[in-house]
Amino acid sequence: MSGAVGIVGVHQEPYGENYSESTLEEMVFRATRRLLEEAGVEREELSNIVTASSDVTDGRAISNMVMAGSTASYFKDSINLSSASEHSFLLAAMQIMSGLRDLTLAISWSKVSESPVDVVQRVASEPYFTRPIGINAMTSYALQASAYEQAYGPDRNLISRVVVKNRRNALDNPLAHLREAPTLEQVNESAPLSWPLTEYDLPPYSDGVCVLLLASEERARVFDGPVAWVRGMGWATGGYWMGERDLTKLPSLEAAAKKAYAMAGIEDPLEQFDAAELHEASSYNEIMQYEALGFAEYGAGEELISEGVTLPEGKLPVNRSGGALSSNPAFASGLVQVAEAALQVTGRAGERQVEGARRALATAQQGFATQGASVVCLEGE
Amino acid sequence: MKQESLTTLQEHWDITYNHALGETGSHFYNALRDEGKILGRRCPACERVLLPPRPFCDRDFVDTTDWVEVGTEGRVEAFTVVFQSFRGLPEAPYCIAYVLLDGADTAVLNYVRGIDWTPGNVPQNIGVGTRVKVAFAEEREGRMTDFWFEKA
Repeated sequence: MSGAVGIVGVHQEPYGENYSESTLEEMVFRATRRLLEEAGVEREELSNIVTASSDVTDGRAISNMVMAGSTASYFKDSINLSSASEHSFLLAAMQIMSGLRDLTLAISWSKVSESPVDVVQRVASEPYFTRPIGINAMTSYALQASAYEQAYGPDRNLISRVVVKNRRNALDNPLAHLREAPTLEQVNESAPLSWPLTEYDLPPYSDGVCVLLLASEERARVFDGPVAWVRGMGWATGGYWMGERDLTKLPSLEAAAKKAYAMAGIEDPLEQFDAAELHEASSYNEIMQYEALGFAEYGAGEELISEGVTLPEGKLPVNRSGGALSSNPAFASGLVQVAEAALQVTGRAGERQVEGARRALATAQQGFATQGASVVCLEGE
Repeated sequence: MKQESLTTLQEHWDITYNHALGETGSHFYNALRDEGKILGRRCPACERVLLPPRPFCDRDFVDTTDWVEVGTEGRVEAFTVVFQSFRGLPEAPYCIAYVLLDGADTAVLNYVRGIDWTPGNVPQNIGVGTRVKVAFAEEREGRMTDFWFEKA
């Protein structure tokens, strides 16, 4: 690796159900403006901007054109990605590593309240065979959960305890969308929405914006605050056709983790990480991620819940922010996990801080039932 | 000062796309409509029979070569019973499943019908591993909805 890359600024607006008091452009402008103010950076100092957004959710195509003013891109180098929110972070980091850029914004947003999100997601299928039957995020993760359930027969109480853990964690996160924690009984007794998943097993949909400021080693030294250094990154795209995948596993996440761990020198993730922010698309999916990330053997992910390993006071607290089950700005969620991991390793996570966290892991998933995945390893100073 | 009320601007799009089905998709839908057959495509490298039919194999990155008629019975690989209705999709509750039809190597998504989807009865009525059979619509239009699954 040539130059090191550090995260020197994070700004998230509180995630919420409906940002109807402002336009999408204002919402993104406000978050970006506040990040620059907090970081003490003038727009002119930025070398470039990488944004990531979902055109169908926004109802705006080639949206870095329409959003140029909001993203500080006016007469700047700006690229927009539609593949995944955290890809904005990955590309920004690579640009800095290459030495071509040195102070870069990565921005992603979702204003899901403006469109029927479950309907819009159907456009992500190919139109020939799958779209006429119709799957969306909810049903794809339900299909995944059904396959996992048959393969390993997890204890429903332990699945429910993932929900209780993340929603309780969100009580310490002033930015979280859902800030009421259900009891285990409430989760166990809730009605199915997409069998075997209930409303509690699935993320809400939130409006939100997430902005990160990345800097080269040289530029990062100029900032007063602590820096979250990027130690490892990996990402992988699996096969599109769900009917040919092993839905009991997350092979794209496993491949992404392997690359990121190799780069970061991680051999025993459970020992070497102090905190993890996983983009859990369902309660079952968090358990499945434990297995793909090497925290547990296949089928044994639930033991991390039964033994309290991923609780705030456990060996590896997972989703101290509350995770996607508490705040889910749909497309932007992957970048949020990176932001929360950066806050942990810089000691800036406030009430949700994992004491003494030095190394943190973030994951993200794209497409139906984890077709694609990304892993980022960060380290503080 | 009087508080100004905030409004939204509602916009409705009505766009028609004409997606080319190509030779592979066209032949699959013609055989489904005219002969009531479900056809997969065989990859010459891995020899898997791919369903829905693909003109090329993603894994081996080569053209598929042969049409293979698959069976009309199979096994549920993954399923969900949906209790929320979405625009353009059936009234809830309904079930969708990936089914591995006999003779195919990849599973195909479609509705499972003719079963009581009362939440309490779901686990008794369907599971991964349940055998199902294909039911064909009498009037077929060359669409995925020309067939569905029922309990075998």
